[in-house]
Amino acid sequence: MAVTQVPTELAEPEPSFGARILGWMTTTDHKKIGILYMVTAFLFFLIGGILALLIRSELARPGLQFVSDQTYNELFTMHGTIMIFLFVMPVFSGFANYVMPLMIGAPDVAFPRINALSFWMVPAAGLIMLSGFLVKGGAAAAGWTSYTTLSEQSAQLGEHGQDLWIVGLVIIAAASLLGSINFITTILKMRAPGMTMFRMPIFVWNTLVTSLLGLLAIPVLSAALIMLFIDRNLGGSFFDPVHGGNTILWQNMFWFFGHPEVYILILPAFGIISEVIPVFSRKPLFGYRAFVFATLSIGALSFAVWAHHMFATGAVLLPFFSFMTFLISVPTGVKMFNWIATMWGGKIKMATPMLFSIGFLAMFLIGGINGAFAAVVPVDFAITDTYFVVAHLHYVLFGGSVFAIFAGFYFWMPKFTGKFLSERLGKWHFWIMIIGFNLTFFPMHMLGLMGMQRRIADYPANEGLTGYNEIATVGAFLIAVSILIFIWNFVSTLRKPRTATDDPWEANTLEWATSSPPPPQNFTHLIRVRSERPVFDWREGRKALDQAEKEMQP
Amino acid sequence: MSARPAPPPSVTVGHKPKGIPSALLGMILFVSSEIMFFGGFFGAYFDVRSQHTVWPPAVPPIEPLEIFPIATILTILLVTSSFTMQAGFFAIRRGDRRGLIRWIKVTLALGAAFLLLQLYDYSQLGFGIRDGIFATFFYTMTGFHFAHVFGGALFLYVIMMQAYRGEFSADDYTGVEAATIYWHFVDVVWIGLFLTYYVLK
Amino acid sequence: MQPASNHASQTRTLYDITFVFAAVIFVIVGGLIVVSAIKFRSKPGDDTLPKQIHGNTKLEIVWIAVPTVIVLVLFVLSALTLGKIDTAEANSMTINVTGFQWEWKFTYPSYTLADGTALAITGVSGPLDAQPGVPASQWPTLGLELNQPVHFHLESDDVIHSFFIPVFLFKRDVIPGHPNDFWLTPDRAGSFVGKCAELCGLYHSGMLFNVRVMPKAEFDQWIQQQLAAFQKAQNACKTPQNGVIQVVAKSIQFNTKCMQVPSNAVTKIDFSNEDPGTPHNIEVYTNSSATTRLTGATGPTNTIVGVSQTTYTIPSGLQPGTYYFKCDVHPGMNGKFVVK
Repeated sequence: MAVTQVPTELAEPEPSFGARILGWMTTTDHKKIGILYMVTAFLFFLIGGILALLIRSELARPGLQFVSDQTYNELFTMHGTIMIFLFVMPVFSGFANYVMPLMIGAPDVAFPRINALSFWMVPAAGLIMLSGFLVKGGAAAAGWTSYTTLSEQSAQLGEHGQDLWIVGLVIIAAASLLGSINFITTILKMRAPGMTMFRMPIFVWNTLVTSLLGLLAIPVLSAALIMLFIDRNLGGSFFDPVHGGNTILWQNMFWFFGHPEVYILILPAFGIISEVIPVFSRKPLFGYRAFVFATLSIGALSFAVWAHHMFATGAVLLPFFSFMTFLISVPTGVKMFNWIATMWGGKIKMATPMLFSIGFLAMFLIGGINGAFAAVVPVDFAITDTYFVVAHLHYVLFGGSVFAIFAGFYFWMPKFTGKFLSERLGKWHFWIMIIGFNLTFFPMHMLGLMGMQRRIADYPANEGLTGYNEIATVGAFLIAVSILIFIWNFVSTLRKPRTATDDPWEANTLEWATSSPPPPQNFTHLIRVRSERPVFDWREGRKALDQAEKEMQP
Repeated sequence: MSARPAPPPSVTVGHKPKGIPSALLGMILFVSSEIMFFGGFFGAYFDVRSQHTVWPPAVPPIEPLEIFPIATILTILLVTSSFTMQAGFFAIRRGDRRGLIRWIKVTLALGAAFLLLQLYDYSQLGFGIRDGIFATFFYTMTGFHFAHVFGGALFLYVIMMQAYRGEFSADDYTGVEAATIYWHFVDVVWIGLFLTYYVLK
Repeated sequence: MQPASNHASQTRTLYDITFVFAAVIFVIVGGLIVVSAIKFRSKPGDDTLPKQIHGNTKLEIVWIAVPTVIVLVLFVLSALTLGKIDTAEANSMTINVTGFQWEWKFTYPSYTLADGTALAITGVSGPLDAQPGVPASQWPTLGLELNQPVHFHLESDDVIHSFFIPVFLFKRDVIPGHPNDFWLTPDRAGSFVGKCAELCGLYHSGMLFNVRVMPKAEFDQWIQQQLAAFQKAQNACKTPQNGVIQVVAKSIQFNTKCMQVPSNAVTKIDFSNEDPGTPHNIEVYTNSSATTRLTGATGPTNTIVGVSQTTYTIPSGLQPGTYYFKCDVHPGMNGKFVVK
């Protein structure tokens, strides 16, 4: 089927600046909302990153040099909260918003106006949370997990940073919930003819499972947050053991949400990697069905592993949660092997998206393996709540999710804008980031094993922790440099002319069957899907046809 | 409705209208998340309860909840309203829009009676939300249920006004079905609360 | 980290086994990633497609089965070690550990003063960097006897802490309303550091303590020193400064066991309750069984819920003698009240 370039800008006069702003603010187009999500998330990524640099600067040496204990506690609390709820979740919502409807051949999502609503709730929630820095007592300072009863104490002092944190999170929870409902309905109801469930791209499958996890896990967080708010402000005692409550209840509710949340943060990354690797290896994804079942089983098991965050509380059934935790690593391992097998025997084009994907594989491999240490319960007793765990979660969420986010961004940028990011700058970005990342987080394994506990503003000078901390701080600033290169790359690309064709990477999935960027309703003709790789089949079919015609001619 | 121009026919053709309507699917998904929301509260309640040998805890002393008469009347009101709403749904499936409006009116009346009686009950209880863990749970859970009944009633009101304007027919009753599902859901939550607070003492 | 207890050595062994598994998996899988990324790069100008392989059921079964076996082995090893380290030990000495913001208190019920009060060791910790900072010499010291099994009983009155001694490769959360217990036997003498590993507020990073594992003779001598120092602290009576005695209640404990006031002058007690959400008061009784109040009142008076302060007034003209004070809410909080 031939695909023709569609003129995306009709011969209308360029709208005024104000009209364009208004247009973005009132848009219900899934692509524009996707871009709004990504841009907003990236701004929060920069804020969260600055907080991280402050944290690393403070920890470079023993003693307090830059911030007070109180400020330090606010910094890591807000760093974690921002990165998880205001960067990784929204940026994946952005990718899913932009790409998923295109991938299934739909003109938009099922509920476009609800989609706009759920987007606008995110920056509002972020501003509410950040405004904590301006109120008496400062922002929330009880960690992104906000364990009771510590998170209830500040209420007695009339400090409301924690309350702003609660309100912000409740809004984000509501936004994610609406987003989940929207995505599930879109995927189940709006697929193009022939797009059966088992022809859906893995990214769509992972968006579906992610949304299901969000749908079922996030309400429990909302309930817990409301209970915390009632405890703090209305005289409740849900989590206060002195007045009949149970403080471990918070951890159970939080992690019942929190572990599915971990997969909400990583499954879309798996989805992106599963799209990028086949395209640049020029092979189909190895073991598509195994991949789908692995995603489904990860989704199901993620509801039965929450208490592995609580082994040291002495209040959970250790063998059960340990067993489930080991079990959930199997489908994740299956995915790793499928990715490698996809590359194996391929003809790999080492463009920046592929580079980031391979970086993802390597970093996520480490993040998976060091996670196994924490699943071995006796070893967990030694390393939990130390920098070993900080290393683990950053190998998963930074080495995993963030590398995948950049892989996806370099990959889809031509589709978003019709313009390629610079390959040269992209490679600089990649190599500086991966070096900086490993300098920052690998020494944290050693720090953890040496007994450096998490969330400390300061450490004694005589425990031999200083050297590794210095290295980690240098690494953090290298990461910052790589991000500056990325920003420069992005901004300079926006000023370049459009050079991307419909299908510049020779890809597989339907978003490449329309113009770059796509027209308002995505497709100008009816899409019919007959395989898992429709665009591949059309392209190769056309090539074969051209070849045959050439041979027919004398 | 969306301000955006309708997509060209060629794009929408083939997006099958068969199967469950999107709006209804959306409502079912929303209700499943609501089940998890209330599930969180119920789980928390039983977790805390299992930590206590005396329930409600002896300190601070509070008057026990009485199953009769108010709680029983509340239950009868809401369960009946579930049946009247279902009758309205059956009516519109037959194409009887007037029947639908009539049944929604009955349902709304029952729902309003429930809300008013619940408020009266709150005013009569000898304890407030601050009076210990049991009281906090009681007010939080019944309070959120109250809010959901109120929201459901608003939803029904909107459906009724739409019906007055001539919407819904034997072929087009997705909105009514969604509202009915939601209304049954708040009823089921109440039954859970009734069993938890008044029966399983 | 060189392990320093019987359990720590087992944990260390398990860690080493896990490390071997991890290293092997890392080398194999990481090697596969590197090899496939280098070996299968497309040659410049080669536009042909590689062989389109969609999967291989046999291979996929292998890489489901092998990881499953590996994790099952790790699970069994982990469960076996867990069974050994997370269990009660016979003939153990109990130490009650109380965590509070941002200090530790270690109580040894097996060692008591003449009046039956168990030896309690406290110190000063918290702000690591305040000027001047708290030096390690002031942190509370947990003394342990070499090769003597210890039973730790953990309690908290305010927020969740985590009792972490890195050389024992072990930590256990200290949770309000949920006491925890664990057992181990220190098997390496030396001085170590202990920490709080769960974020507990402002000075979490400074909530440190010393750990000293000593051979029996040295430990016994140390205990005697501690008992003597504790006795001295118990006997020390607070006397009014400018007519005011300052008393602090923290972690269900008064900061004094004795108050001494003159009979010929009015004394004020500035009472500060630093236990958030917990009620305390100071009531003076004529006898130690606390039946008759000096003021004649019949119910708890002037109970305040922390964090807050109040002032009590002790009238002049009391009959000289020894009385008693206690907190009506917490009978364990008590002491002597001497009128001279």
